Amino acid sequence: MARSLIPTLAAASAALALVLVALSLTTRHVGAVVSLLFFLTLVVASAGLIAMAAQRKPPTRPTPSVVTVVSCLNCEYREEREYRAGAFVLKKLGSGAKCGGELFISAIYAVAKAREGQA
Amino acid sequence: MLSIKLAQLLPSGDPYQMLFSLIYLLAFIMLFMVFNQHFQRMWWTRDVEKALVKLDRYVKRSKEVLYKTVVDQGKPDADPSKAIDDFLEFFVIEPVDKDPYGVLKRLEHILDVERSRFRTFVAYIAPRADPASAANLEDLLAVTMALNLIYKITRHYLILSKRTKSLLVLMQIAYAVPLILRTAEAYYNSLDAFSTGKPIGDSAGPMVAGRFMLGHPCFQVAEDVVASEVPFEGRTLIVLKADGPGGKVGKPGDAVVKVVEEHRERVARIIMVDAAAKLEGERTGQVAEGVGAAIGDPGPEKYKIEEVATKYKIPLDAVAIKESIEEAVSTMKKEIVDGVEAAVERVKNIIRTRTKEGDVVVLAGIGNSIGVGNG
Repeated sequence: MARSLIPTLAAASAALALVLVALSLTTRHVGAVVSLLFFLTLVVASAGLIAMAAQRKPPTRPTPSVVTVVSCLNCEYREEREYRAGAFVLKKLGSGAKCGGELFISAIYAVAKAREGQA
Repeated sequence: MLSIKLAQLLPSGDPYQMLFSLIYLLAFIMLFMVFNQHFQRMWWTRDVEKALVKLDRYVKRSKEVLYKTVVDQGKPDADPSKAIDDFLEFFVIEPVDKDPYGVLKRLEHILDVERSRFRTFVAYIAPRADPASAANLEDLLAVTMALNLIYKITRHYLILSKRTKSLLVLMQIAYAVPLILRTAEAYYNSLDAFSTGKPIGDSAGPMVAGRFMLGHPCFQVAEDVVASEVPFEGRTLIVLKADGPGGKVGKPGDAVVKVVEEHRERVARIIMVDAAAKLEGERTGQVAEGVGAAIGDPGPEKYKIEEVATKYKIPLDAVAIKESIEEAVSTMKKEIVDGVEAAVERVKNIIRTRTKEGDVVVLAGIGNSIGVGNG
């Protein structure tokens, strides 16, 4: 609750600082008091902004997707599939559809997913 | 005349303005000179405390993953959480090295006992896990222990700095925090690979060996190490790798010694392929070549290989696939797979150009065999 008040407090202090600047330009006799208040409000506003920056969460790393590469022992056949539990590199997968040669998993690797809004 | 000059030395103008100027001045002096160290201590403490919160989250998450994997794969009869929590405090005391005579044999003995304790413990908490899953659970347990240790050491230095009010202790841990977090994040990111059995960056060496073993029968040659005899352009390759697809590194030193002692002078070269830590700025998956025993063990296995190579005057070739520490323990990246392909070609080139037909060549793929079968 107290943390959610920080941005409001910072914004109010910044607004008060602007009002005091305007007041010091128009009123001649209260310059010293106004400047002290101006100084204090600036301190409050700065502290609020620093607190807001500290609250900001670091960007989370995108979860990588894992790809399984299936190749044929006899020909140049190559296919990329989504990783499934139990898969491992050099695992034999039976006969291939094209040349009848044996298929095996030649690689498993992670591909980082692009973040939303990025190509 | 004199009075005018004295008056010039005194501040003039609005007295309130002067008073407040003096207050500002004193405030700034207090801020930057008197409380400077106090503020610095606050900032450093806050940095370390923030890192501790993160490390605590990593430890809790890794324990959750470990419990879940043990229950899913090992199907224990009783709740294993208490036994796991107790085992996380397990430690290894390195042998005394003030008298270095025989230190590697003593170290090997202690590492053997450590491995045996891990194996026995995993068999106890996960009695129904298959051999590959049990090996992965050992790795997962080791990762959780490492994260727990990192958290406890960081917390120790923070509390020590608070109790002793030592700025020096606090400064050291605060400046080490980015590197500590980097290592911890690497271990944290490896949880997925170790819990599901996917190949990691360190599996690059066994992957290269596996490419040569593909389609050839393999046999056990040493503890957790398998070998295949592979004919290659008139030469005989004896290809070695850790027994996969479980997370094992085996004892490749014993395997190389056994194979070389069997073939003796017929062995023309020993080629070792391993993942190597890259320097910042180097490309992941880059392949480099050199000489020597390419193996990152604590010492005993490397010593055995160097010893037998020296005994029979066999040249040792090293092929390194570059990757960062984080990449070495995380699920393998595409760049490392490309590095594996390049390393296979590099090994073929070494065999073609530096050996002749009829020679025996020992090829050892060093590293963790998690997610890599035996071909």
